[in-house]
Amino acid sequence: MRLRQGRIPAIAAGMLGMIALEAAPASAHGFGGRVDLPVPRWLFLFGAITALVVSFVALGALWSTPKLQHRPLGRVVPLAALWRSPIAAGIFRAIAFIFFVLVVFAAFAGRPESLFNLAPVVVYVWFWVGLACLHAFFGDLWKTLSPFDTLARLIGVGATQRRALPAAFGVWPAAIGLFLFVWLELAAPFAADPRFLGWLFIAYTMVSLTGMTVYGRETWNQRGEVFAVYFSLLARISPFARDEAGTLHLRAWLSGLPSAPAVPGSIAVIMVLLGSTTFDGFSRGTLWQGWTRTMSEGAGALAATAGIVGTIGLVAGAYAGAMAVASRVSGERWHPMAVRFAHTLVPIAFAYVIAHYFSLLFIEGQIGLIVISDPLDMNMNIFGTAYWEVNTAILTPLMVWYVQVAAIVIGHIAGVVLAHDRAIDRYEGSMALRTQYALLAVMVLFTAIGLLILSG
Amino acid sequence: MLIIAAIAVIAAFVLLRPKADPVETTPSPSSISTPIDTSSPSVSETFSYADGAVEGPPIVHATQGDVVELIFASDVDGEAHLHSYEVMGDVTAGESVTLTVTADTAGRFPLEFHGEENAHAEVTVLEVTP
Repeated sequence: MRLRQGRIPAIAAGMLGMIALEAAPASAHGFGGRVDLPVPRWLFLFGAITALVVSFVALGALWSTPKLQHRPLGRVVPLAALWRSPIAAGIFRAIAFIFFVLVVFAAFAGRPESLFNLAPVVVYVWFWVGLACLHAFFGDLWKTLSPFDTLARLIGVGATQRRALPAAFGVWPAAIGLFLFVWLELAAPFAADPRFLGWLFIAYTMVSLTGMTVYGRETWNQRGEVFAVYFSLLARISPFARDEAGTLHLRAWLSGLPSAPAVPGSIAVIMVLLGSTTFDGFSRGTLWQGWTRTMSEGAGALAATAGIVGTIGLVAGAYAGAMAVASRVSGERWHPMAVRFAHTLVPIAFAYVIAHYFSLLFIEGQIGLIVISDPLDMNMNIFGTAYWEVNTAILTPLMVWYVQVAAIVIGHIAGVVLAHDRAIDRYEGSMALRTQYALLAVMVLFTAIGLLILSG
Repeated sequence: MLIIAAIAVIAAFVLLRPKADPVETTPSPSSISTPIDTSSPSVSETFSYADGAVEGPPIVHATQGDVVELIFASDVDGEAHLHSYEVMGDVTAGESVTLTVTADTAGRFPLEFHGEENAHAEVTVLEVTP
């Protein structure tokens, strides 16, 4: 007991943190209370100028035959036999599943305070930010790591499809699930409550198993399982992909995105990502803080809900508007065009994730390293890290600013490149150029807003 | 064209970047005061919460190393809490509480008030620049 009492101040003193020792506050944002300093004006200007220059270069000087569309995979990666071996996959699967079970137990049996429990930091930092980033760099890891998929295999459900999921539903089940998750993260006052997360793990496992049992494991992973859909989309940025036989190949960065399945709901997934991350940044700024300064927790949650829905609506409206303008050039309807270019926004959405959550991952993420030494509140010190303190000095504000602006600018460049490539693949001559104007304008707008939010 | 664009971007970076790092040009005199010297805070602001409204600046600017004093009064009982620094103070209705911190970590940190009868306010944001 003495041990435990000694630890609380030790962690709290060094912890950059957040949530009071009572309930989670209204400004929960899932997890985290420290906010990055605003990007200085000169860096904001530099980012904006670069984005503009890049956009004009794209119109005039980029390649004139598509380079990323229908591009075959590159050479096989080293140690290919290892990456496709069922034994290696089985080991990773087992580790991930055991870790998931540990987190579920920790949610119920660990300490009840958000900051001292393994579940909140794993969900909102390690998983939602960290694992997402790994996908964009290293490919679709969730296919192997998903505990829901592993559990379905273990209990032997979902090998076959009992009922077909109507094609008209597309990935809407995942889009709706994604919206519910970002709402929870950004608006729900109880988002970081460990016990609540425990019940959420159980509920989501039940939903996933039901979906896989009825519609088949494969189908549910592609269209209903929120994180499988999200992570596999990000994995298309990465330079790693498997062929039909499961052999791991290298490929050009971004070249997975043009072949992202265009099904109903796929635009919605991207809009939810873009809109929710934009709102998260905006809601940490002084403008929103001023508006919600004296709201009760309930009212604050309602305002955040309206903010999330409104931002997603604005982002979707801007995109739809751009597509309406562009479709006049090519004489099509706007919707097929919107489907055709939706994948070009994925790098921008991912850039927002990096810009907004980079410091969260490396600073608040350290809490996980501390609490994992005693996940079940049994006065253990399994990894010897239980008395560590969060070191905020590993990131200076200047490092954070550079990473933020670089992420936004690189995301913008990637979006512009993808849009250019798709346009010249699809349209002839000057029409390829003219269909790009509106989308480029919207990308510049998104980038400018992204930078403004970072500097405000 | 690509080369011109690259040159333009690099030129923009060089021109826009501040000549000297502002971090080094403005050393904070109080940056070595490790034991909190509450007698002479570098920054001091006063806030009050009454009838559901907050009086006081929405942002408090401080430089890393400053000793910051946040004085808060309320018309209901409750607790004031400076996030991340995890400094808390019990507030008694009609009286004021003083939260004192050495701002040794850069960032933005909300000061929040939780009171009785669901009273709640994001009182201010402490902005600590390096």
